[in-house]
Amino acid sequence: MLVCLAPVLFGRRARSNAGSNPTHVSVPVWIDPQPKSLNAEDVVATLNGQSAAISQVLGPSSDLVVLVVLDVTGDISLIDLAKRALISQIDGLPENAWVGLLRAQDGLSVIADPTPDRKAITDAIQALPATGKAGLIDTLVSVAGIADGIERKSHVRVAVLYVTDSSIYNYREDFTNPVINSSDPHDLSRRFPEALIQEKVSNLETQISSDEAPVFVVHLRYRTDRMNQAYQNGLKTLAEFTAGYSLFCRSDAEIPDAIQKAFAYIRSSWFLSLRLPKRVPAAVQVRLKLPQQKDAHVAYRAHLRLKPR
Amino acid sequence: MTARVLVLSLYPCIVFAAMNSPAGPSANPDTPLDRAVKEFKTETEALGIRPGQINSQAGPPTRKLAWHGRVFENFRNDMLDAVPHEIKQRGEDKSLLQRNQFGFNVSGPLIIPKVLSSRSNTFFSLSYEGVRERIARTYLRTVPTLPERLGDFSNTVDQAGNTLPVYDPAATRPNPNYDASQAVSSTNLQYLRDPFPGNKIPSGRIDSVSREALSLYPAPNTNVGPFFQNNLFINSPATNLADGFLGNVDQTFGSKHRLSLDFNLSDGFLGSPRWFSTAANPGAPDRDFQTRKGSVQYVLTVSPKTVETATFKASMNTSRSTTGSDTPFPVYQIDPYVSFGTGFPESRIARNTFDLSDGISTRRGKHSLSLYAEFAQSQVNVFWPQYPSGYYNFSSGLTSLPGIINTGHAFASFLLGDPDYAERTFVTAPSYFRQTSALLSLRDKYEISKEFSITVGVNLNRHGARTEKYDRQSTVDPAAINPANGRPGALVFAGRNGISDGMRPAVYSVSPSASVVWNPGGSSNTVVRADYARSHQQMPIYSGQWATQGFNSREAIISQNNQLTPAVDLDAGLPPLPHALPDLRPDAANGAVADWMDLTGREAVYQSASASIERQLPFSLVVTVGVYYQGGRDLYVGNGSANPNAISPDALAYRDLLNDQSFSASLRPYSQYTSFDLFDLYPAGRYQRDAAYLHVEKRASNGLSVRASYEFGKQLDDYSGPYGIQDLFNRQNDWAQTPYSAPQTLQVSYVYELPIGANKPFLNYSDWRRPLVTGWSISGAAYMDDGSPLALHPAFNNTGGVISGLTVNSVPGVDANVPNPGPDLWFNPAAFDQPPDFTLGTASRTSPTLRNPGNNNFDLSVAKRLQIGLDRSMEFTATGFNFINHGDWNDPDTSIGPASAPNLDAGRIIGSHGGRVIQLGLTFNF
Repeated sequence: MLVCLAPVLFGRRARSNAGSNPTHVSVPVWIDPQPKSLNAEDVVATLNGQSAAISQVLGPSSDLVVLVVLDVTGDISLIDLAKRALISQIDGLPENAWVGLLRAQDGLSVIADPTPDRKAITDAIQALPATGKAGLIDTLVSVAGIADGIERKSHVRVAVLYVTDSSIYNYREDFTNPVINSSDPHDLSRRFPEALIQEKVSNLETQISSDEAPVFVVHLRYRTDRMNQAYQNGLKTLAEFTAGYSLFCRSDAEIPDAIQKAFAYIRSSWFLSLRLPKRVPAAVQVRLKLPQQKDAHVAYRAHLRLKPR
Repeated sequence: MTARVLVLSLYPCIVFAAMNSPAGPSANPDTPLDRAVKEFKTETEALGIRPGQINSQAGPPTRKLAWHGRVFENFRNDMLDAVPHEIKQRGEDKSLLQRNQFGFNVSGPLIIPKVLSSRSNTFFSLSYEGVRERIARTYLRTVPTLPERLGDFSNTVDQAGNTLPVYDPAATRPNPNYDASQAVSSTNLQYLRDPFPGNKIPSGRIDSVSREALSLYPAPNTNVGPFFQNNLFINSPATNLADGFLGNVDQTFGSKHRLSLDFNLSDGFLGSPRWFSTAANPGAPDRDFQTRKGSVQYVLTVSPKTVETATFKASMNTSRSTTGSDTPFPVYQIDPYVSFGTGFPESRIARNTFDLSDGISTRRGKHSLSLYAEFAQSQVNVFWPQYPSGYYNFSSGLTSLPGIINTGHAFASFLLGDPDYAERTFVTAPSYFRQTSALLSLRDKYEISKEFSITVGVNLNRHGARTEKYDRQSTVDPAAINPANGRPGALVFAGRNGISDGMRPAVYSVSPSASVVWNPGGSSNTVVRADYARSHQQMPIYSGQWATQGFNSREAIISQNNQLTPAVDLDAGLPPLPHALPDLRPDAANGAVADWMDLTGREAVYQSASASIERQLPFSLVVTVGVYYQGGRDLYVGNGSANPNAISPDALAYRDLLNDQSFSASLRPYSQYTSFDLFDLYPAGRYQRDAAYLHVEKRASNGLSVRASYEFGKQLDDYSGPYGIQDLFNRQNDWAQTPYSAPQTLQVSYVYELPIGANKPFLNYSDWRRPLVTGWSISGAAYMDDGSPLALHPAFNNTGGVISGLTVNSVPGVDANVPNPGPDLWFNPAAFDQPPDFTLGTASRTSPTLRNPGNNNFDLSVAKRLQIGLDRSMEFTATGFNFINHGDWNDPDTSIGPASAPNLDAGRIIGSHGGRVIQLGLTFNF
């Protein structure tokens, strides 16, 4: 029955690039070793196997907006280390890198609009309290959407950096499926307790599949219980899906390094704007090659879902 | 502090004022970065998350109502399952299972029209789950053969297959030729007793009560053997009904205050399987459950570096059991046959706990300090009569040839109506136990350097003693003089004669802890950890009305010599209590089993230490290698592992004299009591576990994540096991491997998102095939262990009641292990022997080399997720528990008989258990 209904229910999703549909997609790229320059003709791009022209290249010296999202609710010592590391990294950013600050715990809220004013940002970071319910999962779609909007409208490089110490047990929404009837002795439904987390991650992956900005996650406290490992795996999956990166700190000493790595990664990004072929399905598979730098390792976002501009 | 609070509350305004100043970014609106800021403002305003919009009723109504949740059904039915091995082996082809588990969860902003809007930052989560289940429970037991029911023991054999002679207690007389200087033996009998002619009890001798009870007792329905054993297969359904809610409401007030409320309500019913369909059913009674839990938590953010959390929790768990009969059937214990009747036919218990805590955490330079205080009160209201209609134990002694093992039969004693022990419980009122605890905890985490931090903490505890609301508590005080015999040990009562309400003192303790974390050389790839912790365990309140003698009563009548005289006449039953309750005489428990509460103030103490190295490797691998030690002393143990009234093993030299209760009582430290009930609360146990482990975690990459954990450990103790310990006077002699602890365990779990469909490398279709191939995942879990140590025990215990946990003898030079262990022979029983009468066994309590077959389990779940729009999905799961339908062997028979009558089943395994269970699940997520 599913086979019969599928064309009716889901057939509309494959569409042509016509009318108000997008004409470009922007793909974040990292190249190791980092080239001094990169021109459109240095890159061979295909979208679903069709050749795609590169209309714009933004590199490490281009304008950058970093949306730092703090999702910190637990151990003050970790959070203090993270704040200090964040301030240090923000202070070291070039002038054309602006930082915006949001808070995710207890719902998403704006703390500071993107600004080159380092003092305003660092003061706001210092003043941010560390309590409440974790919010990364609840806010990811909104933050990715904001970053995507900025990236599409302003043609700057944009990245989202979540700094979180969240535990899956500290969400408002229930992802842990706790035992409700303790008198039920034969409950096997919780033998695979991570199912709800997996479902949520899959859902989020779908919801952010059209957002082009990469998401980075620095998790301040790596937890080893089964549920949190599934959660942390989910964060890693989501970050990597956007071509971002996740770093999990297993001790205090790793926090400054992790935040430094995240910023280094964000600063070194390239953004390639690819012109869409005339007819392309909504699900786009990206392939990039650098023929002149065959030994270079090229990391980029490989899957995107088109949405109207 | 005030300045900080002010900054905190004003910081969004400060930031925005700075940004909107003439020198701010809005000065030049044409650059890409300016456009970025403009777009940021537009997007965030549309979401209603800008300062001034949050918590504002006047904000733009752009944010859609965001309620999330799921509706689910999990279905199990025996049609889907493999027939369990234990059922198939009995020749049956069905094991009833009908189970539906269903429910929902919904969470999001709480909206009450005209009171709370979606922007008021109040969130809720509510879950419901219901269970409707009928499930078969199976047991393989032994009941008398049809001839035995008629008194015919001519075909009854011992474990070796030899005819078991049954003697007539009415024909007992002293042996005029008995030589008291020699041990009792078949050639030097102390008493003469004639066997029943033809090994048959004449019909006229069968007790009328026994005869009547037999009409309620089932006949054999199978013959697994050997020798007519394992001849009753019970396959009876249990009923399980449950309905429960779980919810919470969470509210933030500004940026400094947060309040959350949690609750859990659950009602359940467990209808126990019926072993028999008659009033003599020995199965557990049906039970109703009720859970009510709630908590309130308030969090105050004093400053960004100081947080205070206050919590109040309350919970109430009640349980009621009933057989449905006003006059429950008495319990007749006839080992090794199934007993009649059940203990605790009517009981009620309510456990209420109230817990108030407050903690404050702050950061000062390189120190993170926390201070935590907690006060808890427990209430246990319990009505728990164990044997209101009486308990009668029948042993082989009264139909044996006195002093000679492997003679007589417990069922023959039952037919004659001759119990060797009888008991009845009188409970006049429920008990209302109370207990308090208080904790003050201090912790400091100090960052000595970038790569090295140390945390030290200390817990200061006060554990109050158990009290009873109406002071209806008592215990034997070893310091009190018993008026009946002038010896130490008399019943004392709470709140009377200078005895405190709790009887034992409150315990104050200090529990330190410390841990270090080190990243060698500042490397973020390697973490070294070491921990130490120590803790004290408050004496728990178990279900039961222990230590209330005098207000309630446990009337116990013990045979003066369980080979010569019955405790009571079954026809006459138990006599009435000699004194009406309450009976608050110091000697009220004399001659009975007295409840003994440890009054010294000792508590169970645990400590642990561990060290590990965690290394991050390529390919998303994290490997952890570690060792740990856990130990404990003064652990709470029960009657099999401690006995303040024990007779020294040296007394075994008195041999058969010990069968005389009057004589053996004279050897006890507290001769006025036959024994003590410690209720698993006597602080005397010790244990130690040393283990090494390897954890490997492959974090998610290419859709695959794996966790594997292997542990090799050795756990020893001086108290656990099914048969108790042998030498209560030298516990080190019973220091042996823990029976239920497998030395090696391996656990593996994995999740694999199949690499097909949307955003995956393969079959990444954009047409109608996309939903069909997208969203497939496989999850699995496996558990394996190499078996836990076997506890062997002798078939006979002829020690006059001095030794309860008698061990076997080791036979020198004979290897207990066999080359290829299997169900026909798991170990070599010839390596062990029954100890001679009135001697201790020489083998350890558990075998250092023999283990049971262990357990293996493999679960697999396949899930298909179907995305419906952007934020809805349907998920179908098919889960196979023990999906390869593996059967674990049962434990081998560990009963070792004497050379003259060896247990022919010793070392053999009868059957296996387990079977594949399938669960289908359907979840709609929104």
